[in-house]
Amino acid sequence: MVNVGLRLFGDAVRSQGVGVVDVDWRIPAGGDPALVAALTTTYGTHSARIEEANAEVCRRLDSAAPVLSGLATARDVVPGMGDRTLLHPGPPLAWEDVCDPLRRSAHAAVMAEGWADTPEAAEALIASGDVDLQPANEHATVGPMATVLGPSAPVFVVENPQSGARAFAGINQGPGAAPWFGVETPEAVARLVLLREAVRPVLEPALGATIESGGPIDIFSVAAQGLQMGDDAHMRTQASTNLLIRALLPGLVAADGDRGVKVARFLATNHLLFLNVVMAAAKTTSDWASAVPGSSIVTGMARNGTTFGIKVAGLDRWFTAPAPDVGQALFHPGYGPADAAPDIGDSAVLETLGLGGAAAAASPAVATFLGGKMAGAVAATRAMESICAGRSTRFRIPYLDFSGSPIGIDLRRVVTLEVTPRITTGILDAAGGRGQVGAGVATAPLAAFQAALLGVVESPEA
Amino acid sequence: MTEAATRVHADTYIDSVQLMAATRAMSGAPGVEYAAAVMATPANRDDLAAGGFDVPAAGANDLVLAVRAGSAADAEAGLDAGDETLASAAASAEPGGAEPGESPRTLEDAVAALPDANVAIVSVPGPFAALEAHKALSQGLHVLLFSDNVPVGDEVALKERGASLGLLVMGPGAGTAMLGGTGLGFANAVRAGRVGVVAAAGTGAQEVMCLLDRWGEGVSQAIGVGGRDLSSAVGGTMAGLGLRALAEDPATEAILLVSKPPSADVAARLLQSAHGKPLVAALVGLAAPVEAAAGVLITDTLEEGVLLTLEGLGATPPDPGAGLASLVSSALAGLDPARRSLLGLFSGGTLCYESMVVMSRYLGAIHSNTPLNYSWGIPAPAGAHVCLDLGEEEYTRGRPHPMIDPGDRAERIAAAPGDGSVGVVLIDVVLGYGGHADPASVLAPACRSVTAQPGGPRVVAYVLGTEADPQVRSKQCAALEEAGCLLAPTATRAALLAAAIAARNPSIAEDGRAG
Repeated sequence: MVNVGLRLFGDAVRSQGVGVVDVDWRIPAGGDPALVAALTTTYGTHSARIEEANAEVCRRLDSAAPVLSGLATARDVVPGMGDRTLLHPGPPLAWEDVCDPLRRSAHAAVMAEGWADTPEAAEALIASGDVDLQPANEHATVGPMATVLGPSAPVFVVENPQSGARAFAGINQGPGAAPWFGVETPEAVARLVLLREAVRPVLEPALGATIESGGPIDIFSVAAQGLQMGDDAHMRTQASTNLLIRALLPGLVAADGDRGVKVARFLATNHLLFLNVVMAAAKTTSDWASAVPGSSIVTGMARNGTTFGIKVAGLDRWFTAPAPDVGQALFHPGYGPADAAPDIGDSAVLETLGLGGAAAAASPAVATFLGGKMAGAVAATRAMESICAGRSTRFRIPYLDFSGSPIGIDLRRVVTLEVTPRITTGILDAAGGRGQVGAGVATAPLAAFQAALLGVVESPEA
Repeated sequence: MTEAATRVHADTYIDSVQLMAATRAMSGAPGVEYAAAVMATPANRDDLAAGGFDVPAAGANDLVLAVRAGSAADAEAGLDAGDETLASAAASAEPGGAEPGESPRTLEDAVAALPDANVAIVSVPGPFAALEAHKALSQGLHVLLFSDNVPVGDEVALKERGASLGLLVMGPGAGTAMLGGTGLGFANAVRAGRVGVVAAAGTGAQEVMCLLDRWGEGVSQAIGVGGRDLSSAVGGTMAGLGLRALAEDPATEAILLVSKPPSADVAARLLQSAHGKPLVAALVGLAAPVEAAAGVLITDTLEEGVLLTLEGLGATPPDPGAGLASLVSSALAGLDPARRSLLGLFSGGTLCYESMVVMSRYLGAIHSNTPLNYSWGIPAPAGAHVCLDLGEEEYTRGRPHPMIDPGDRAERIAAAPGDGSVGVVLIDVVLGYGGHADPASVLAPACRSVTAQPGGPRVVAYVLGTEADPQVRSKQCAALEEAGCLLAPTATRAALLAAAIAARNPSIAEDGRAG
């Protein structure tokens, strides 16, 4: 017997020797009548269809095995990428609403493309409407933090054998003065040129040789190994990056002379190389899962520094709320909350399928941001479990007896419990263009999930 | 001038029983004029604001204590009294119970923790009851929906969905059920037997189950369907499903349907078939004849329903009226001639209703908060017969149900002789799981204070329960008898006893099987 409500009824049945579980019930959805009605519909008359759809979404999120198949120029492979297109993270937004770090990153991309020589000129060019600013997510592409991609940017190509679709992500721009951190200095622009002119020519043949000898690289297999080695595969990808570079090593050694050494030096300092790769893998997985109609599972989360947006399987639209501040922050020396820009980047797609915050308990490094104890990291994973519909059969957490990390964020559970995903992330300088100023944990805004639940109920599928 | 004060406990959800206990503790503090312990839902916040409270910012799972008192010090002391009650409840809940943090937060998670569960009891506040009941159906569970204040539209949707899934939705406001030998809600420990019960009347179901037990039979299954099930709006969806389920249940050899006044068309539809087994319908208060298939017996009292059921099974039940006339005759000796009116103080809604139906045949008008007709409402004129259903919302707001806490009823009993016209006090004492651990310990002293008065009112009591109930029926009866009460063998017979005293006509107590 399951007892929901007055304790005395559970005790009365228990006293007859019958097994009882008491639900630790609280008022759902803050008691809001419209949301309670939406929950009643989605847990009630529509429940069977939604559960069936959710099971298929979770199956896709869990079983997808995207592979890294190569490097290419964005213009040549990214769908809808024109000669004047710039791809930005997060939901669509107008240029006048773009936050300072993303604005600077766009300037740097314009300069790297050779469309302007100075940030001021780049600003004028974009403001004039001469640049087609597009959300990367709507072009099968994702970028962490304030990443902006131009047509000449090199991108990883990730293929999803199950769906036959592809997704793309730029090469991680590395630490320090780099545009993805909202820096637009000549040094930052040079980083984009380095990726295009040096890293890509070395990495592409190295990757090609690796794939030729060992076949395409199963990205989630690398991530799963990384979780056994202390990664959450979002904030910390050090182990997976090492595994990836180890795979690439023979090809890198064969690369040409001085340029090869330079590239190896860049890769050796960039412990987030794997981040962009696994994000593209997550993107193509979530795109596959998004094709399932009539579900209540969140298949996309992305932020542009101004708004936070989520997508729900089967609904081709964004549900947005203002981007949250990044909480529980640790700041670099000399910086504080006043310097912090709101949450930004497409990397939260990782949290939809069992990585990042969902796998926090796998990562001692992440625990340092969650109170400094493993208990904090475990609590973050448990919180995700409370709002997820499934468990990964691949991403396993050693510290939790190798249980699978939670996958498939169910809107109904989020709205009922008023618990939203927490996303471990970096913090960018709000206005000064000085790059990353710290790191912390962003809590996804509940309003976006509430709007999405109402959207699910109103959709023709429902 | 009065002082209004509030206190907020963040993220502290407590259930309605605890809220009532805190409300009562605060209301009882010196100088307190009004008190409320509520969860800070949007609706409750609006109510507090309308009541003149300055409502602090709070969420739906924050607890708010609110007190209006003659002085600021009294208001603070009132709030402290509420806190003390909550603290002692929390302390007593801990031993043996699971840590709150370990309990699942949702019904789905509870099912995952107990995969062979097949029934859920839902008693959350009304606005959230349909949601939890739907969740239970989605998980393949039968539902006992205890919550009331569930809109009839939600009830219809739940029952239609339950019927399509082959799952019972028992309620809303369903007090009792027994499935597979386990009592749910307010239930009595009755023997296993051959009779299946479908009831749209909570205490009515308990009464027939206890009588079947007491007279040597037992119960196979009991399905409470909620008081509105046989209304035209709901259409008897669950009574129909319950009757079909009992017809197919190999342990059930006879079926007893119990309902307060049913919608005639629905009752007729349900009784078109006897479902292949002896079927008795005890339709309490039935005014017009109902068409029924051959083999279906219809009667209008709980007692007669049980007697007919037993006879259908070939048993020879006792005559419950035997010897009661002489009991009444003795009781009438010495009764003040001016005391001629009846005061019924009930905890069971069906028992109150049936008593009024039975007694009005002899006494005429009986005034009530749940009157048989509109002109018999309360306040009653001086000297009139009165029956109160103290389980109704107007008496339970801010305090526990009289089956859980008999204190308020004890005060009313003790006050009865103060009205010089009251000649007989009629009470029901409902035992079973979920009820007060020893109601006679509270009620008997009050009864004694009445019966001890020379010429004062007589007290007729009926104890609904079994020997196997946690409270043990014979012990409860002995305590009440010791206090001078006249004990009736059935609820129907208690009403006849009381009517006989009020009418000064002992033979009424033995009135026959015609009811």
